[in-house]
Amino acid sequence: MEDNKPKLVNNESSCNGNPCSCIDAQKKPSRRSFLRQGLAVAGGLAAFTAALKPLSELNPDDIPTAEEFIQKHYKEMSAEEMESALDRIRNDVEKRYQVRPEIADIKPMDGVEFVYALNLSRCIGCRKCVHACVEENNQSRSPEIQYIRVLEMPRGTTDIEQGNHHYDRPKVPSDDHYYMPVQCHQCANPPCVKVCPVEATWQEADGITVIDYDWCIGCRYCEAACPYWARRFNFSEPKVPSEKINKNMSYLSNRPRQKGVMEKCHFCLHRTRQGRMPACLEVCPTGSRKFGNVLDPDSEVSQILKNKRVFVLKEEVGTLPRFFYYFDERYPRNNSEGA
Amino acid sequence: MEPQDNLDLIIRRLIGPVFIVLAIILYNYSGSSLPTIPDPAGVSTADLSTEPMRELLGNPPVSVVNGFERKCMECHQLFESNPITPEKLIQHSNIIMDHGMNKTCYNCHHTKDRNKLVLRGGKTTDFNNVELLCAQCHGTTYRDWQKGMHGKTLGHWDIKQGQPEKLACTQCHDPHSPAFKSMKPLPGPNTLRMGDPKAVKEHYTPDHEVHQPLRTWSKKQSSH
Repeated sequence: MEDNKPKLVNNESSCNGNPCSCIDAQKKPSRRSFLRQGLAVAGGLAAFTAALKPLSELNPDDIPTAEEFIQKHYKEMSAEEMESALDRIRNDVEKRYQVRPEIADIKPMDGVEFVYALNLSRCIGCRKCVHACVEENNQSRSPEIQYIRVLEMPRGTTDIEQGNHHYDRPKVPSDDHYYMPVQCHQCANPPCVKVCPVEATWQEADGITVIDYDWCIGCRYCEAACPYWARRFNFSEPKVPSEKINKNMSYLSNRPRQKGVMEKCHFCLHRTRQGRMPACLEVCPTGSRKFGNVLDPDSEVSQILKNKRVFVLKEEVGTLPRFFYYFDERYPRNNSEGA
Repeated sequence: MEPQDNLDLIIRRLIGPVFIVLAIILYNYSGSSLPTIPDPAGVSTADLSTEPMRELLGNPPVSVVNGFERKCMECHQLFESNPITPEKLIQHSNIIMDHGMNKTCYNCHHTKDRNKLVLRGGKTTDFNNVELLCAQCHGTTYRDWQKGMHGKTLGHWDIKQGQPEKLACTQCHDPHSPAFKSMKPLPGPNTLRMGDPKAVKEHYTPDHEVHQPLRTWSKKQSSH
């Protein structure tokens, strides 16, 4: 193996045209070069198999099917293509969870723009909304994924850096705190949509920013862009017990997600686009949560925007949220006045 | 030999061992264990009931006393009541009076007809329109409630697709003790990327209650 390559190139010049020993050496490799090359090949093969080892741990169900692979972008799908995609999802969900879902692709309603309002004077921080949301939207139970984060805030400040979402008390509310639930604000100028490199997330006509879980590549740019920490990533395979699956599903909302995609609050669009209230609102024991169509001047949210003192979180970043916080003019909640 | 050939030779000699070492490293580290996934929080379906907080007794009210259904007038027709509410009620022992200054029965209840509630100026109303009674003192709250800015609305937001179900005052507030009761919060986030709850709890003392959820991890490191 004494420098084969130069000799092959300069065969005639180096051997002066004579029958040449180097050609024999090429045909019959020496013991040393044979061992060395054999070792290199064996090492290379070992490295190759080691590199492929994660593939052996791959669940065959995780490999996208041809149908899934050629599926078009949500906005380019025809009605028939959507129907076949929904069929595929029905079968997938049945295979994974042994539950046949009622899934549809529910479109925005005309003349509707959704707005959420939350009364900070009333919220007691019980976290019922957090868990009702998890049940409604088939979020992973292990690891836990939650769209709503309830911040316990010291009274007298709106600096959310001072908020704590890990509060654990025997009873809430605490006398010296107020509670500020944060979820997706469905911004009118959403930074998460701007940064998505594949247009897997966009704003719909009714103001809800949605995600196509089949189109998301999991780059998590949107998570970093969101100033409200509203987006959640499936770092591992989401686990939901079969008996906990909510069968009422929509393509853009609560259908089961897969590993490696982003998800977030979508104002329960499978409910709200059919005239119903979001799950977090229904479970709230205090009536702090208000939802409705802001284009209807008589709706609860329109009245709140008109008559109450309202603010949005991080107004200065220019996201124009559709999620408003408001408060009542009244004496402090825990003041035992007048006795 | 030229330096080019020399380099070539070194690469040829080294390539085998390098591959073997790489293979060993890759084999040991590929598919290394994921972070342990926390157990999901136990939340019962009762915790997530969407039913109103309180059940109404009807109009006229019917309450269950010692296993028997009782209407107000079954007793109150026969017995006179003390116009001044005593410190502790003997008959209605389940009622806790904690409504601020408003602590006598006849401020709200009719002296003779217990199926009625009294309004200002001698007018009466029944238990289906309890908000008219509450509005006598809580005017701004009543105004807010009428427009949906106070209180809870279940059902549909869109009246074309279904009726909204607006809850009455007494479906959330106990009229005898109307302040909203404190309750045990459901478990907090135990989620990847939401920080370590233990790290915060270690610092959870009355002297130090200011937390920065985004900085939980660095805080934990700096404490050591």
